[in-house]
Amino acid sequence: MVDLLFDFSQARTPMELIVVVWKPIIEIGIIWFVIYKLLAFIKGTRAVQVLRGILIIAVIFLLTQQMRFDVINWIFTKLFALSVIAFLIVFQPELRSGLARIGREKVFGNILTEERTIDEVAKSVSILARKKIGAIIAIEREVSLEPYTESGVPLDSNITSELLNTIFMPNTPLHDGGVVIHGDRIIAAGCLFPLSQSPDISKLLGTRHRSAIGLSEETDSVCVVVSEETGVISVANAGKLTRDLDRERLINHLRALLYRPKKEKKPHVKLTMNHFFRKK
Amino acid sequence: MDWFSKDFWLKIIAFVLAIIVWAYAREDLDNMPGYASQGSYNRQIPAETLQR
Repeated sequence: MVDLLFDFSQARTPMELIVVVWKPIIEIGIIWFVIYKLLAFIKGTRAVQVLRGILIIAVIFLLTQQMRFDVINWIFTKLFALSVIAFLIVFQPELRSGLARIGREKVFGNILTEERTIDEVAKSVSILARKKIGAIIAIEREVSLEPYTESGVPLDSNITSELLNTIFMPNTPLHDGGVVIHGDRIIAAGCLFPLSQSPDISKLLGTRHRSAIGLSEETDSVCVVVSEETGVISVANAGKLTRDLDRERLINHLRALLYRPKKEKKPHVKLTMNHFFRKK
Repeated sequence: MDWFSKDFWLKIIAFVLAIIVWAYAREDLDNMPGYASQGSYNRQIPAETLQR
């Protein structure tokens, strides 16, 4: 095992020995990280079931290879060539959201969202929850929600809790669908969001929650949902739903996800300069 | 420690798979004609290379 990992015959000086030892460790570390991220990503999707199927087929393939069933082996070989195309088609949504997720890893931090937006959303949502009025509010972060706003009615208005409550009032034209918020503006209402295909979502949750999770899977947006049946407030982020939030917890949760306070200028340099030019 | 305890078995499976993938890749590269890893002192110069 050690011989396989480290080819000590290549090392003649201590420095080369370090390279020989570290290179495979770093390489394995990188592969480990990529495979772990891949497995963690697949874990929560319907790809798990498909992966199990592929695993069973792979085991049968290995068995037929060992037992020298040449014809069956030939069929499997041809099927594997086709399965690459099938893989791309079947996993198209997962591949798309996976690649999008890689692109929006937290390199630049969270987008600055107005404190007022969080307060207005929380205020509106707590009223809607009390009255058991269903609502879904998507707060845009770095990935644009433009494809989804196109399915709704454009508003581009200042955010107020009164307006949000009015939008979700039953039997009104805009209540059926989601609201999209960008910064401190309501961009559109009555928008259609993609439904999540995850098998892990509880059957008790309706289409509203499923679409909130779906949108948070496809984009980096944060979705606030109010259940029409129970009045429970939930937040969907990165394909995960946090349930049973009250107003205070919702504000804290949204702040943690969205809010990045403006950096205050450190007075360090100024003080130093003052100190330098200070008259004695 | 907290990092390790989260998804513990997934990390173990990923680690085993990583070693298998690495070993296969290494074996394939070692069997590749004309290939020798960088820094290797005893590597063979490919026969096609003109030697002056």
